[in-house]
Amino acid sequence: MGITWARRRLGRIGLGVGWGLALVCAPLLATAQGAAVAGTAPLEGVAWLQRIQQAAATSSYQGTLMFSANGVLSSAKVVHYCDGRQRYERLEVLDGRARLQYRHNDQVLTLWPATKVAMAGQRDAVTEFPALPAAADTRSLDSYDLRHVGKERVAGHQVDVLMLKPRDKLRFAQRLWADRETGLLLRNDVLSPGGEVLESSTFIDVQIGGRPQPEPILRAMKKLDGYRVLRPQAERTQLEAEGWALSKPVPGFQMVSCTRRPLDAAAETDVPVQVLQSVFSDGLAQVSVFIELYDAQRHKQAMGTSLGASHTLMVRRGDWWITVVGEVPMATVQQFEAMLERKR
Amino acid sequence: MVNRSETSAAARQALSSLMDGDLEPGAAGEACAAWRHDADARASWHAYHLIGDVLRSEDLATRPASDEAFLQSLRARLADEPVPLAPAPLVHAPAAADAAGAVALQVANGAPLPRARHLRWRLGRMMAPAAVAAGFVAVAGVMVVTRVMSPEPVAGPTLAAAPAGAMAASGMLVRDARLDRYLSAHRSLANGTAAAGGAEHRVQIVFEGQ
Repeated sequence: MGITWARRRLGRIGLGVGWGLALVCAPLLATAQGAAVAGTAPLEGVAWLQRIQQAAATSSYQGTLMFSANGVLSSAKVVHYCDGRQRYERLEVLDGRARLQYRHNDQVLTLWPATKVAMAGQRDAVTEFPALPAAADTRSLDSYDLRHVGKERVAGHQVDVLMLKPRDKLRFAQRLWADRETGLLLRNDVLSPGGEVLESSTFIDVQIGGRPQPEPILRAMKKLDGYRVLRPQAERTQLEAEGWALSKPVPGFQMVSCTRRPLDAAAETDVPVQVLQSVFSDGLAQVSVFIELYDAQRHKQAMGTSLGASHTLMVRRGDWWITVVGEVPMATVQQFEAMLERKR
Repeated sequence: MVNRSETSAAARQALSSLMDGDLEPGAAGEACAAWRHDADARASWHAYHLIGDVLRSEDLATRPASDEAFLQSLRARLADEPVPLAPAPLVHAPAAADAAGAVALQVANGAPLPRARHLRWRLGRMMAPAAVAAGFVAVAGVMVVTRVMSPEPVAGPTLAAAPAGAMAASGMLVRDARLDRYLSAHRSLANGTAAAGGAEHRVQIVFEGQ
């Protein structure tokens, strides 16, 4: 009886929300598409994504970023300048262990002031908020259906809300909030099949534009007195060259990066663990496949975990230890593990 | 007389089998009913257990009276235990209101209500919507936070997610520094927001299978 009642109530709520959305969205959609591009034809899915990519590549902005997964929040202050060709960034992580990160184009310097450790290297990230993966505009629409679903206000800015619904069950839906004026991505949620927010990256306040002032950043990148500077080497390679392959591709995913690198170069331990990290992308979500030699000391039991949208699977495969991590459902992570084959 | 001793012999045999876990479900129901209504059966039950205990260890050879006392006090404590969010209030709203009214009337008449029941109704009235909401929060929390997959053998490409029950059952909350490293390596290279880095050493909600 209680269950029936609850279900009936739920049904009613669901219906109400549905109608509410329909009523709210219908006029919004009509006006938004007209206004977003100031008189020109409504934006296609691809154009929305290109706009977001363009904004991330050319905007200057400063503000506070917040990331939340499973109710764990962390935030960072960011200053990002772009003057034509050059890009500069200063980022200060506000939670947990103090960490500063400076960027000048592809050069990245990370500082841990408490331990006086610095790490210098090349930026090789596939994507980082508020950017989208390079293949977002060309490939992601094969796997996702993009819809403009309305206008909202985020971090003090008018935004367009885009919904990316997966075309199969191998990935999660994502909702993007893009600044109406510049196209800069201001918020990105990953949603469960039931519509719950699994994790969220957002600006909680942001100023877009402004005159670039790169000098303090360049100065800080040269001032490393007292720091122990690590320069971990990441070596580009190919999965096949390392004796591995995916026996069958996981639908929608392509390999976008394959490197041999220390797992945690900044760790206080003696010799960092070397791993082979292959990154697969469907244009929006990424999956990392880590392969390393099995070590009974470090690798205990097989394990599957879930944290926000991130699912992880760790298993032993003979002499090897395989770890698959991705912001995708567990079944997708398992599929990557199952498809991975030793070729020699 | 003959008849009675025969039945009691059969009943005692049934009790003995029940104790050993050998009784079929139907017969077990009968034996339990006999235990409930027949003081002799209860005495036999205690005697059998005492025999078993003594055979295992002399330290266990206590007088049945102490078992009885324990059982009584357990019952008393159970009866006194409040039931904060019982499913009982989740009936149609008018029915709940009527029932609550009836309870109020009884209270007004000064009729003594068992405490647990009384509390359950009162909470039910006040908290029915909250209970529904809390239920959802809890469920969402369980699904998202404590979802743990037992590392089932991966059979092939058409794997479905493990059933939710299995996930929750094998769940264990651990903080795993090794896993943090993979997560942060993945985040920094593959799918990141710089802000997520702050949580890399605060990823306390990680679950480990068996």
